[in-house]
Formats: sequence, structure tokens, C-alpha cells
Amino acid sequence: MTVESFAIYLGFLISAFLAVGGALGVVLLPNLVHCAFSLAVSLLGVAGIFMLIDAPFLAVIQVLVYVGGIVVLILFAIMLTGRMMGKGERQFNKQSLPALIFVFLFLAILIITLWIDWGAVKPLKDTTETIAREVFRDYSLPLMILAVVLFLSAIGALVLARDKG
Amino acid sequence: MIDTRAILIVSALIFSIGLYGALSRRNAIGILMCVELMLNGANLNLVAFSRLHHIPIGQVFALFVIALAAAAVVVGLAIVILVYKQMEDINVDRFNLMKW
Repeated sequence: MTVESFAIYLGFLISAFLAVGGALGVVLLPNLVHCAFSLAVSLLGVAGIFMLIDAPFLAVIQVLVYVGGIVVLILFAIMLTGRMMGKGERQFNKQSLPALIFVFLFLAILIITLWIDWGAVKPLKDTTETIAREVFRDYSLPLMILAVVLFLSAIGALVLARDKG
Repeated sequence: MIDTRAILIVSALIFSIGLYGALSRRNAIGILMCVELMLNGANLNLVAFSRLHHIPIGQVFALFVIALAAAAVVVGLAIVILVYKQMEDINVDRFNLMKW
């Protein structure tokens, strides 16, 4: 095993550990602010995995949009509704145990299904350039529809959260 | 190179953890965070298969998923804050206005 492939495996292990551990933190921590920071850790782990599997552009977008945008937005919302995570407030509903059983079965089925030999992979080259060509040539209509959706969601959020008084 | 199986297992783990949180949390913002986790698991799957089949279209789909997730979380948080203003509560098991 060369030094480079060992470094890739080590990076994948660390990233996967961060991603899964952060996800567990999001689900299990009682304080929502800690949950939001844990979500940031998990998203950074996923960005690291993206970086290692030939998707550097997606990794950068993940950090910019998720960690820089969505997590900050969620933190603002948590602080605006700060009273909801007081000491006596229960954070889990009564369906916790059935949900846990269901999710374990679901995960078992997923892992049994995915545990086959998928074959060798070849590295992708110049993915950023290819993404740009695909988005602006073959997928330009979805891109424009997406622009309209983002515009409408921003206006919709403003209208919803506006103070009537 | 990293085995495709390892990436798929990680993505299945993230998706399942997010699913458990979305089913069992009471706080609406917590549920939104868990939905983001599930979308991330799906994104990881898309990128893994795009690498396996050696076509980068999967990364374009993942890009669209990220943008749509941002739009969804913006509207979702606006609704949560509106409901908090009106009902002084964002625990979803108290929202039974439309339940018959």
C-alpha cells in the first residue's frame, strides 16, 4: 500500500467518523444549539468524503451553502424560539421506541442489499468543468426553474414571517 | 481507491439516523435538521454511484438537491417562526389544529 492510498483511507475514516458521529449528535443531544453545531460537524464530514471521491466542487458548495448558510439560519431560528428548550421540556415524543425498531430494520435491509461487490472504480477527472458544461447546456431548463424556486421561496419566507401589526 | 460499498454504508447510516430523528423528535427545528441529514445521505449516494458508473451527472443532481434543500429550509423555518408567534410553541405534537 502506497503512502498516498493510506492517506486517502485515513482521511475517509476520519470523515466518515465525523459524519456519522455528528449525525448521532444531532439526533440524541437534548440542547438544540448543540444539535446545530453537531449538524455542522456532520456536514463537514460529508464534505470531506466528497473531497475524497472526486467531487471537490460539491465539497466546496457543501461548506458554503450548508455550513455557512443553512446552519447559521437554523441557529437564528433556534435563538428566536429559545424558550422551547428549557430544562423541563421533553425533546422526544412517545413514538421513540417504535421508530427505533423500524429504523433498525430499515438499516438492516439497506446494509444487506448494499453488501455486494460493486466492482472497481476509475477516478473521475475535471469534474468541475464537466458539471459546468452539463448544468449550462443539457440541464439549463432545470437550472432556470431552480432559480425561480429559490426566488419564490425567499419571497414566500418574507411574506410568511412578516409582522402584520 | 475507496470502495463504493464503504461510501454506501456511511450514507445508509446517515440516512437512518436522520430518519430516526425525524420520527422521534418533538421540536420542529430538530425535525428540519434531521431532514437535512437525510438529504445529505441521499447526496452521498448520488455522488458514489456517479463515480462508480464514471458519469458526473450524479454530481449535477446532488447540486440541485443542495439548492432545493436550502429553499425548503428557508420556507420551513419561516413557517416555524410564524407558528411560534401564534401558538407560543413549536413542539409538533401540539399542532393538532388540522387533525379531525
